[in-house]
Amino acid sequence: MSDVNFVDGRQHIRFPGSVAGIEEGGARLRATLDQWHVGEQARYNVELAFDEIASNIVRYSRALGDIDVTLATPPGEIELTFEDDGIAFDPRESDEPPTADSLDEARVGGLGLMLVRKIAVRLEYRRNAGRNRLILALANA
Amino acid sequence: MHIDVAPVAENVMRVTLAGRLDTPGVDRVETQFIAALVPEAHNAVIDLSGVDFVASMGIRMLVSAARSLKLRRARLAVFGVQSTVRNVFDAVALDKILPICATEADALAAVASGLE
Repeated sequence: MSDVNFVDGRQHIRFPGSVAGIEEGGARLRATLDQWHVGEQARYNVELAFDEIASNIVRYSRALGDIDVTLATPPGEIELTFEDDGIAFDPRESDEPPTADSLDEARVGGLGLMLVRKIAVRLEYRRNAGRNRLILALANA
Repeated sequence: MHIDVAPVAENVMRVTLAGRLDTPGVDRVETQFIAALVPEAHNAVIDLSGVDFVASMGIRMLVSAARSLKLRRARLAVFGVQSTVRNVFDAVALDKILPICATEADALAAVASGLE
């Protein structure tokens, strides 16, 4: 079950760390972007960042609990904050997820993160109390 | 996510995809997509005009099919790519790996020219 709270340009989405969970969370994300009337390219970038990061967490992080994504709209930006209880992974530093099963998988993991780095205007990472917290800002143009 | 496979010329299959090639979408169609093309080494033209979103998992599916087909001396080209999707393909220089064509006729020509 995914869970949504909508308060003043801020939205929290919680979903299970599975492909089905990404689908549920993604549907909630798109409903929010509809409500916020986000422009076409910014919207694509938000959806892309969501799929790439959520997919990496589900495939590589060994997270056991739900994934939390918070959306916010600081001036000129759309900001996504991802939180999970998987193994520590700073996407700013690594080209490849740490537990890739094969060269092919590693390259693909790298491809998703490369796309995220290209579209992000800001990327912050913190490991705290056994949780990953990634803040990813995109231009809201 | 919807997939439809039909022969379009001699030894060429047209795969029409519609919906989102994100993580859940790829999860749903990848097995059928690969199975329709790779075992029999069909050349393939992929109609992406009904696909409004592609993430890296979708790119991986296309590239992995193209790689497997190349080993079997067959080719894959895509056509009808929407502009926002094209931006993502450009960001990863996908056109260096497989032909990205405007129309089905162009894709069929690209697949045929690769047969040498």
